[in-house]
Amino acid sequence: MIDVVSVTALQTGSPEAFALLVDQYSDKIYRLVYSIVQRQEEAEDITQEVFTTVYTSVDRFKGDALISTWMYRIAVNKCQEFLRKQSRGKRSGKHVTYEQVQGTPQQPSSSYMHPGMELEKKERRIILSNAMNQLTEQQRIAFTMNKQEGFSYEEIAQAMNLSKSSIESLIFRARKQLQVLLAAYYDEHINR
Amino acid sequence: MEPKEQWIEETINSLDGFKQVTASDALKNRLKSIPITISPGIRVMVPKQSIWLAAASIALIIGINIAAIYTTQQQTTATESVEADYFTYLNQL
Repeated sequence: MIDVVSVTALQTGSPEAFALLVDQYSDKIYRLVYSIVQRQEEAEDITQEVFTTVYTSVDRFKGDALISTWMYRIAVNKCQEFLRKQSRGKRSGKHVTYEQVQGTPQQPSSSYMHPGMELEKKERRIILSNAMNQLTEQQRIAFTMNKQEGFSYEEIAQAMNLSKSSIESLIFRARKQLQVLLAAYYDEHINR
Repeated sequence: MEPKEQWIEETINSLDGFKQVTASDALKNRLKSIPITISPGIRVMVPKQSIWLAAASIALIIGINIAAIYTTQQQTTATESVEADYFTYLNQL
């Protein structure tokens, strides 16, 4: 991943450099946050918090990693905070599923698929999404980053501030847990 | 592969390449207005030297105060002792 945004310009508070940063990373950060929290409004709020933190704390960025890695780390931390608050029942919001988001005109499908197949895939995603909600917070984040967003183990390790082996273990256990949950769903709803 | 296992694998893989969600234009505009909405004062960083200097100053002030209280207490005790000796002397007379 190439960082084209000048960190020096950001550190001087240049609005142009910040706008460039928004252009380059808003989709990536929003998609990552959305895939973890799965709520549109909260994903937008968290994305705004991420960019606000970046703007106010860029002076502390030492340049020892890519700015994208630093931003992903902030985003993951904010998501973890949200998930903790959510698990304590302190936050609530409108739950917008992938299906609903996909149906909006702003996100047209990039490739054609038969409507029947498309519908079935949507259903699978919803089933998987529900199963993923039962994973631990770290398993869910690591699995989402790897499986949905295509981050490498190394990138996830940097973003989550864990070792690469811990990430491998988290994803392995997440996959095992999902297999168990989906097997139970299959027995109950499909193979009756 | 059994149908059940196949179904599970396909479901787990249903997220592959699902990257269609994008930030709305409204959100992007909100993000771009962050430098305008945030007060410039917030970005002013306090140098670490100043923080240490302030901490040292506070510690020094606290130290001086403790020393002053200790000295005052000692002086009061000494005065009380002199007064007691004086009254004892008067009583003896």
